[in-house]
Amino acid sequence: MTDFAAHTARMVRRVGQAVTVTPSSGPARTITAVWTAAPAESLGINGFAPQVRAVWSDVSDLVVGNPVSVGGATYQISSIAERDRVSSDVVIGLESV
Amino acid sequence: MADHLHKQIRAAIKAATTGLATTGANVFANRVQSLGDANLPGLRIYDDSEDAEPLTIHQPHAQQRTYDVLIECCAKDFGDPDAVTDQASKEVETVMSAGITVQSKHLDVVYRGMGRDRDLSDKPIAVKRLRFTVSFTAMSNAPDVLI
Repeated sequence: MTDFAAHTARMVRRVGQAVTVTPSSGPARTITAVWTAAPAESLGINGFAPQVRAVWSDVSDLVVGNPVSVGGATYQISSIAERDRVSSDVVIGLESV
Repeated sequence: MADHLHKQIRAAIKAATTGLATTGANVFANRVQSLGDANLPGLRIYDDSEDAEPLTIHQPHAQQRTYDVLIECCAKDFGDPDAVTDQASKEVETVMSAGITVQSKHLDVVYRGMGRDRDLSDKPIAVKRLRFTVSFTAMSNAPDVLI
């Protein structure tokens, strides 16, 4: 299981991109995470679902409301999913500000 | 033959609600496509249902019709989309309270209540659904003409 978690972390860091996160308790830092923004329609209104998949240890100090910047755009964390106990990565939901 | 009165009523409502301060020209009648950011905040106008009662014995009947119309106030806003839809709702209710004119006749538009939905997209979205009733009379063989 540890090996799988290590491989997952390598994949995230291999295919990810620079994402700047700012925890409540410290300065901004840049991590590598997988950024996606799939189209998402709800209530008859178009939109997208911005999120990053990150290695848990890179983002364990983040909470809902912390700012995240990626690709020149700034977002705010709207949700943090329960981390995968095996692969040890986590999906963080974002919203535009 | 003119358009069905339903279409004429929706057109009159669309005309009356176009240009309001919050929603401006973003007013759409019977739209099936999703709204994009450029269409927001906006209004969607739908008909919901209608009840009809005959007023005369012999056909063609004169009918008393009660036509239910929905006006959805739609917004996507990082701050408070409910507040945006409330402001849009205020403007819609105010203008609808004056009624509409169809075929040179005044028709009352009566507010019947509201419902609201919310969800999270790239920003929070809200839809405030206003229910209105328009009562009118028409002949059963001429649903395009007010009597």
